[in-house]
Amino acid sequence: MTVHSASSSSLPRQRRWRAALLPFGAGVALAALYLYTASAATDGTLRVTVVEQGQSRPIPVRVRITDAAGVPISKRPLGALAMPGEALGVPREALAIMWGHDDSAQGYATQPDGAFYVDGTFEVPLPPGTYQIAVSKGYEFVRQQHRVTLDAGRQVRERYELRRWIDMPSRGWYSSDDHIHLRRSPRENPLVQRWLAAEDIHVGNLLQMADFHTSYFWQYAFGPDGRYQEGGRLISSGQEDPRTPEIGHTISLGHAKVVRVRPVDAYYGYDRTFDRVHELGGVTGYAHQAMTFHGYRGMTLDVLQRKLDFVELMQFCAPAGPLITTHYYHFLDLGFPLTALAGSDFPWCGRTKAFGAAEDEGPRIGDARFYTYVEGPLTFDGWIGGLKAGHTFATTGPMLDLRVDEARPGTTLERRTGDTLKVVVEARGHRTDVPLRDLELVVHGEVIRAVTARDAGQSTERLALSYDLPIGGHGIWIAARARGGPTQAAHTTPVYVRANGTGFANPATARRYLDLSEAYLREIEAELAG
Amino acid sequence: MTRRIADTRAILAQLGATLPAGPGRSAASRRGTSPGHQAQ
Repeated sequence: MTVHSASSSSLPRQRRWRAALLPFGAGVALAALYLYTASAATDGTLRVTVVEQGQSRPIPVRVRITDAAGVPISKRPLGALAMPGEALGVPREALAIMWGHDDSAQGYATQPDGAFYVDGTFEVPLPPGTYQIAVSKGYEFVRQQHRVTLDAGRQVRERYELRRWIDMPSRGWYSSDDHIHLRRSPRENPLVQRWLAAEDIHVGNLLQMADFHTSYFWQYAFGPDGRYQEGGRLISSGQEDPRTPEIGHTISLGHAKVVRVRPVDAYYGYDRTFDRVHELGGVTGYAHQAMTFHGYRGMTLDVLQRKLDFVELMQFCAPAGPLITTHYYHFLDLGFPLTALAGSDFPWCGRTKAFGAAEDEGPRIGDARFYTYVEGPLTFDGWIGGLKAGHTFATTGPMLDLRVDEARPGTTLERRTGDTLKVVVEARGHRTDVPLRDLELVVHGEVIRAVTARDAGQSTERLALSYDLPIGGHGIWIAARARGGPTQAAHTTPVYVRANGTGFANPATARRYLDLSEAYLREIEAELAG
Repeated sequence: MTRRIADTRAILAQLGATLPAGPGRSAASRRGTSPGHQAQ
């Protein structure tokens, strides 16, 4: 056996090398210190406070600062709300792609587009120059753009007042994102709450995601133990599971325990999950407009067997989005009620040029959202009750109010041939942020009345129509939809009208949709049966 | 899955037998049988 050891002659040689390197290392350190202090001396400091107009308390908002070249700043401001890397629950390599910013040591504060969330105040040192500061807070506040010039060694203090263009909670409507992926322990609750508040989401559904093999984005608890309420905002656990490429991705919300079907060979039996979720007080639906991952196949089984409550009708994932009604109208026309929800699928998807956006925003909580009508103050029970009643609309900007004989979306009315329904619908927008284009009244999938912002008495901020709709020999479903600027649309859950004790299916499309359903069953057989 | 597909086919058959057939609401609307509307 040969033993290698440092010879007596090599030790002095190492010391000589270290001695020679010491001045070099010290020089590097001094140079770095000089550069740091020189930079600190020449930077200006931007200090910003954001409040709601007429109030004094700072509020959570989303901020994006770009330099004169339009590039987001790379320095993370003091006050930016950083999410621990663990909370994002995806591999480091994926984070690097999605985030692309080297801020992992202190957590992830910088959003994919360079924006960050703050709890009302922040401070950041920046090289002298002119900057654009974009401040936003979801869809009910007017977005702001500010231009600030910083001089070396000087501090600039800014105070911005965000103004609401609409107050939906005062009307009983609360915003939700049905599809957020963030791994959550109780420690993250206040942070997640502030991210939600910065996007003005009132109910954030954090989904534990799974496949055949494992789970991702773990939630520390389901049911009441997994809920968190602070400042009029709620966090609730849900699951995106089961999810397969053959019959789609599903979402369950509000149930008391996570449901995981085992063994693996039973995984395609989505109905087992849905039955259990319902027993546990939750609701079930298909994600991604039932468009991607062949969700329409699974829907054919689960809608017809009455296992489903909702469809994620709006989202910036499927290429034809954000509003895709193809599969929604299929099953509504066959006479099955389905509530319209929407969600972001954060940290995936997002508003991009491919959807008509001016810029690639990337993933963003609440970019597609739904509103639920809640009786009284916002509580989880009130919210899930409103959702189960179908009192919702999905939106990427416009606000909708549909009433049929005063009834809200999701209501089933019993009427007789010859009766007349009073349909009143209103869309609300904002001249610059959500400039309304048109409002459509949809019956059995077809537009029976429409107004545009150019029509007399209409505007980009308010579109309204009323219509006396006579009942014929069969039932109908009635919905409203609106369009605003590029990427902006909204769609209500229908009001269902049964006629003479029968359902609300569409006679004109029944044969076609029955045949289409059979075609989807054959697709499932070709993929899975046997 | 085979059972679920069979169950769903049974539902489709039942729907095929019971759903009303004929022109839809929009066809009636185009025929002008929806008077009384007003756009504000």
